[in-house]
Amino acid sequence: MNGKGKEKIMGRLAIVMLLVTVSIIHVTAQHASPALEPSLASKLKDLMDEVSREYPKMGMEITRRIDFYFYIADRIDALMKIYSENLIPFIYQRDLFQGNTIKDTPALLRAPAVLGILNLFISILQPFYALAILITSVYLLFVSGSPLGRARAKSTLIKLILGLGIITLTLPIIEMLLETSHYLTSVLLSIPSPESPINVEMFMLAKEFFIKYFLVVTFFEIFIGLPFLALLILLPAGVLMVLAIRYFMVILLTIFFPFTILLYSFFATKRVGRILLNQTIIWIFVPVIDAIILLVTWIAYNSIFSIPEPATGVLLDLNTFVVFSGFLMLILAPLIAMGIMSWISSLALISAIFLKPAAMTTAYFESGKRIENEM
Amino acid sequence: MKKDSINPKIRGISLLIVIVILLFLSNSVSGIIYPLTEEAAEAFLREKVSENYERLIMEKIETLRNIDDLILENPSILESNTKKIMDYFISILQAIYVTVIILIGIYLIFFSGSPEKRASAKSSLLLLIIGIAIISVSPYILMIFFGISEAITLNILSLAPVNKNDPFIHATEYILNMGRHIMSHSASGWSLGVERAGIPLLFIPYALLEGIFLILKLRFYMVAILSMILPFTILLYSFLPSRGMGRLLLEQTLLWTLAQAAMAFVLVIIAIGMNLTDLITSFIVPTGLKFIMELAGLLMLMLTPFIFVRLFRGFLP
Repeated sequence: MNGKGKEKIMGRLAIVMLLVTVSIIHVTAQHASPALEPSLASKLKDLMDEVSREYPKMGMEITRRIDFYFYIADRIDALMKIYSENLIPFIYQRDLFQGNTIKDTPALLRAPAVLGILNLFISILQPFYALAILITSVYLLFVSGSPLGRARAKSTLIKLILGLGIITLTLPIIEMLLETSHYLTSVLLSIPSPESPINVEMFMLAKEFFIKYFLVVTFFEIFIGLPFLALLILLPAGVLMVLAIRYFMVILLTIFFPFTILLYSFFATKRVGRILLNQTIIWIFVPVIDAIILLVTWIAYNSIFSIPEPATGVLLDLNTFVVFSGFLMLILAPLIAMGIMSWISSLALISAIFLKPAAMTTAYFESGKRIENEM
Repeated sequence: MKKDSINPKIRGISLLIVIVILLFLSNSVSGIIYPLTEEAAEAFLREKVSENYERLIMEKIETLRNIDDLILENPSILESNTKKIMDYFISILQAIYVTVIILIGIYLIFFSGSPEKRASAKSSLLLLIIGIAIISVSPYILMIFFGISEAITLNILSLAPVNKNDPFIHATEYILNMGRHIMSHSASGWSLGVERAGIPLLFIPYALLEGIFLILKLRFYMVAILSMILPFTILLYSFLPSRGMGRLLLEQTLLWTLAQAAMAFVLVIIAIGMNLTDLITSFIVPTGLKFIMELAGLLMLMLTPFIFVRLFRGFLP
């Protein structure tokens, strides 16, 4: 039987022990009552009568909570196992996109489903390109108006001819970007010395911290324990979900890449094209951002443990918060890079509201101190 | 997910111990029978609640199987009340336009001042005539635009694999099963269900599925409202002082209509992405991770119209 099973048995044993203890007190109260003071004995008897009425219900409730706790602990453990086993391969996502040449797996972006849509899009776009080049050349040759218009038409023509080349090279370009991202990620993740490579198990610290609270609170009230449970699920799942969205977005933006280039070529649609191109590049380089966050978390985690310890508990708690912020940053950093989180800057307003009174208060107290010193 | 790993024998023994102690503790047999009956009644109730939730979610899943129709749905311009409201607006605007055209005509014929003023009045007249023509046929323009958008969406949806709804169905069933497990434990043990923790878990899959439908409906109503005020949008866009507002409205009309194509595209990509994870042999995706990916896909689909509208805003000159 594994450790989890033993833990469960221990939990149930604890309930049984509790039940036995209470029953012993109960029996003692019933039988030893003549020896006690009459008032105390009657009080004790009343109490125990009440307990014996409520007791089976209470026992059932406690059993229910313990069982719920173990069920959830099992699920959280499974989730954390998935998280710690798959985080680094899932950050790389290399096997997903480029395949493994040793096992001769087809590369994902060259799978028939993706390739079919991409080729369809390219074949739709190529006539448009030909038409656009034709129209621009006709404009240049016959209608050429102002020097500005001519210059703009010339640059559009060059962009169109380049674009026609680029869209046929969509896959090699995207693969090159993915390979660069993978290379940067692997360089970043190999910075720690080989003796202590990044250990994703460090995130277990946050799990243990929250599950402790969850356990304690669940025994009192299940509903109040649920926020801790939500945190426990959302943190690891959130990190993996952002990476999963990256996986989908890379496929989506790869297929949309020919349109991106087309939109970027024209003056009128350049803004939209630039946004799409930005998104393509940022989503491809999300692993690099995540690798930096992972590296920083690992360095902080290690350096805190290498401090000569004043008190073990404090360091452990400190590291828990390091890991917790690592979790949060792994979720938020890609979104911040994307500009999705720009609304968060509006929170600065709050600090601005509090800053002035705080500064005034500080100034007041400092001046008071100065006056006291002068006196 | 792995099954509960506890030995049934130990479960049985511990259950026996609990029952013996309870019997010992209670002064009468009714002392133990009563809470047990109460518990059984509650368990029955919990089972019923979770069954009802399951039925509800299964209904939603059946609706999800027809997501193509929901995505393709656009307000029908020629048959519904939309046309009546549009006609009402058009009749108002036509009156205004005609009045302005007559006034400019009078100005040109009787008060023609400097050549510049005459030229500007003439160009205004031309703009007004073009404007009244466009506004009069705006329902038909919109109909053509809806047709184009639907054709694009249909084309994109035809590229999807057969099992394109499966990721969403898997994800919701996964959470539903977890909720049912917590609500009414269980096939192999003496554990008891927990109502207060189970109901949120039963509600989440329902909310996720309903969320998709709500967002599709929201798109539908946005398109309906924006098409009703399309004549005004064209009016606002055709004059320089009000062009900003007109541009915003026109952009919103175009983007909310084309959001259906974006949603179809995302749906297809998620289906393809999830199908491809089965093909890769070098990186075996575990069930839990797959569930998380499916959930991410579901959220992505829900956020698509908003991100699409926000990303492409300001594309008109």
